[in-house]
Amino acid sequence: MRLGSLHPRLRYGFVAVCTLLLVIGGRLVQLQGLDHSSYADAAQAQRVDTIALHASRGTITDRFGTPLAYTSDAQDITVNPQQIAVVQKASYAAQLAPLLGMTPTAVMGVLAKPGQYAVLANALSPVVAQKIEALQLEGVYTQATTQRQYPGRTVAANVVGTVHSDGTGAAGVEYVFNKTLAGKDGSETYAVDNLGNVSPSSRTVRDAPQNGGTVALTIDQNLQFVVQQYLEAAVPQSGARSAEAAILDTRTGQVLALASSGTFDASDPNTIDPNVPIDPPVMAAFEPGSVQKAITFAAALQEGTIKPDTVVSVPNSITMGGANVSDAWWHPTEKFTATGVLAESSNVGTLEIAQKLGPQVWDSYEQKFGVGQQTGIELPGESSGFLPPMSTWSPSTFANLPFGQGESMTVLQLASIYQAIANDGVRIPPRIVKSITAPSGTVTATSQPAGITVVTPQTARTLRTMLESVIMPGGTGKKAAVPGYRIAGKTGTAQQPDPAHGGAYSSYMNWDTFAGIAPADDPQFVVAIMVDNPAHGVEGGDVAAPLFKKIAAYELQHAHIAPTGSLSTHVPLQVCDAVTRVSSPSTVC
Amino acid sequence: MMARRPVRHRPKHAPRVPFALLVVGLIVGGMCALLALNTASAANELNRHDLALKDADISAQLQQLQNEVAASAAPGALGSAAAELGMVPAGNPAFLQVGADGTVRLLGSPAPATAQPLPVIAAPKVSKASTPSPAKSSNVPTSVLTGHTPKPTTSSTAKSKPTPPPATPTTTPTPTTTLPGGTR
Repeated sequence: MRLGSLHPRLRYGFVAVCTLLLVIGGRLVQLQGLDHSSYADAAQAQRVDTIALHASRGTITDRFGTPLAYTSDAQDITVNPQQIAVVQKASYAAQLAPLLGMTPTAVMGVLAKPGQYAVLANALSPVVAQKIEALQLEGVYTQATTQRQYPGRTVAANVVGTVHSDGTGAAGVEYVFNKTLAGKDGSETYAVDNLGNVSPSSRTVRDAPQNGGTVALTIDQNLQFVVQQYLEAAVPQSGARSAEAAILDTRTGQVLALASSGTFDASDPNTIDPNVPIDPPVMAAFEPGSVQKAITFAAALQEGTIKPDTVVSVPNSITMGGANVSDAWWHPTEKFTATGVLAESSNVGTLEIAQKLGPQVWDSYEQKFGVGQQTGIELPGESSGFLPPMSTWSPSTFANLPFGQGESMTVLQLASIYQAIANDGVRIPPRIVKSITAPSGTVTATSQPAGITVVTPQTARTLRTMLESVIMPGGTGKKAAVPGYRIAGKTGTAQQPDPAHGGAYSSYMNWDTFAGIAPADDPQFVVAIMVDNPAHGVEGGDVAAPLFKKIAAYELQHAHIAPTGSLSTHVPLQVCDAVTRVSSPSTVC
Repeated sequence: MMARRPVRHRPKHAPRVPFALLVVGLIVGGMCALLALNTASAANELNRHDLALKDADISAQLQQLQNEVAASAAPGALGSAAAELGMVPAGNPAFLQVGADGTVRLLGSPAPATAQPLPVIAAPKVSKASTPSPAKSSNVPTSVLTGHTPKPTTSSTAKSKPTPPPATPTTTPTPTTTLPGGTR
């Protein structure tokens, strides 16, 4: 028998194997050589994970380090309604409702929503979220997030501001210092197994996040709280629309409190009224009225036009530039001292003094005191107020301005004017940020703005003495007196333009103002107050002055300012002859 | 005569079996060591994972407590707590000034604290959302940032505004002509 020929079989076999090897080799070249990068990427994607490391937003504190705004971790609870069996929904609602603080009906409402995603609760505390996770309910998920906390709620909310839902600053310091507070996100890249555990032999690439810095404000939270409370109480008590106050430190111009009534709750944006400015003490300007007389008198003292005992013959009314201006109370022509004109707040007397000064000089002092200019405070939306440029004055403008009508300012600017008087004539533009602390711990203190010398220290002291007379019995501001202390200040009652009467000044709608310095003989702080349209057109001495007394009394105790024990000197308000001594109250002479 | 072919003695080999055993032992030992290392690092990773979970647990509790402390230390909460205890804000005290010669002077007038505590402010509720409103649900309207900066008007009549923000002073209003109020 003949065996098959080996040779051709070998050859065919050899060819078959060669072909096979060629195919394999070709595929090898294709996979390793040509398509190699896409496979490598796919493998990388499967086993390598990159997560964003969110920078935590910085804290905002008050001047003593008490946190006014900080970020804490939170969890959102979401559901996939399609993954929950209909029969299970009721039991889910029963289990979840007590943990979420919602009614079972409300929970059912969310579970009944169509689609694959519904939010059950936003920003729950992680402890509660863990309890929900422990229930291990199918279709209920937790999502890590953060929540901005405002423990003070309404306290200083106008200054601190608030954040948008995405965590960026929306108003106030949160907005202005958003970059500092936000920091910079980082990332971390590592290899994972199919369960998500980090593979220990893999390389971890970490780009560390830079957390936000801490912004320390000059605000004293306790003082701010008390001021807000007093303002809130004063509004319904006086039937006013609103009330505002600003408190500055004398020597540094730092803002100790900046408050208004009706402040929103920073942790609840629903409390923001879109029709009202969010920070009235800085945004809302008003006509100051007689508090502004301090500038007229400062200028007159500095220029040597008057001395505290200069005699001014004051009629009941005066015609200037075609306008007829009268005093707020009828009196025959009387001889007042300059101090008396200020203490009893005579418009006519003030105009007589202003006329001696001249409009040019008067205007220059207004500008030195910062009227009509922004202070540059680190808050958004600051109003500059309004000082009419001299080129636009009509003949009667100068019959208005010296006693504070026809110009406007914010309560912060008003406080700044009195800060200059308190600080021996040097005005320091107010600031509200004390320092910024970087995450590394480096503290950068805000530099104090350069002082603007408005009047000499002697003039400032003389003016303060005159302003003390306002607070003494016989002055319009006697309700601002704080027993045991020397107080200097001035009342104001500015008429508001009445929109219903074509903008003419109203006879019953006023801005009641008061600005005061405490203690007068060793000034530590100044308080400026404005009450908007109290009922019955009451005067500043009746509404704003008592508010000053409450606020100053609190701050004097809070800041441990002891009385010096010296007493205010009584200065005659009028020229006193035999007749005056008999007919006038004892306080006058 | 024939040359003697040298007789090659077969060289003596080292014993093969121990060498083979050594090699196998090294291989097995190496693999065991590798296995042990891998197991240990994997176990460490699982341990780390558990500890991380525990750490997250404790951090969450810590955060919750910090939030509670901050909330109760806020002046509003302290004020309410004080009011509940029946405390009232202290008024302005009188002072006794002791002079260098020992004489005592009374500054101010002592008076008992008033009975009414300060009202506790609740935040104004301007708009009520129909669904439970979470803290971060709505964006703050940006118009609110800038406030109402009164623009100076040069016309003699102020524009009438529907809402009452403080109005701009007009340049030539009729000032206190014969109006009784005037300003003080």
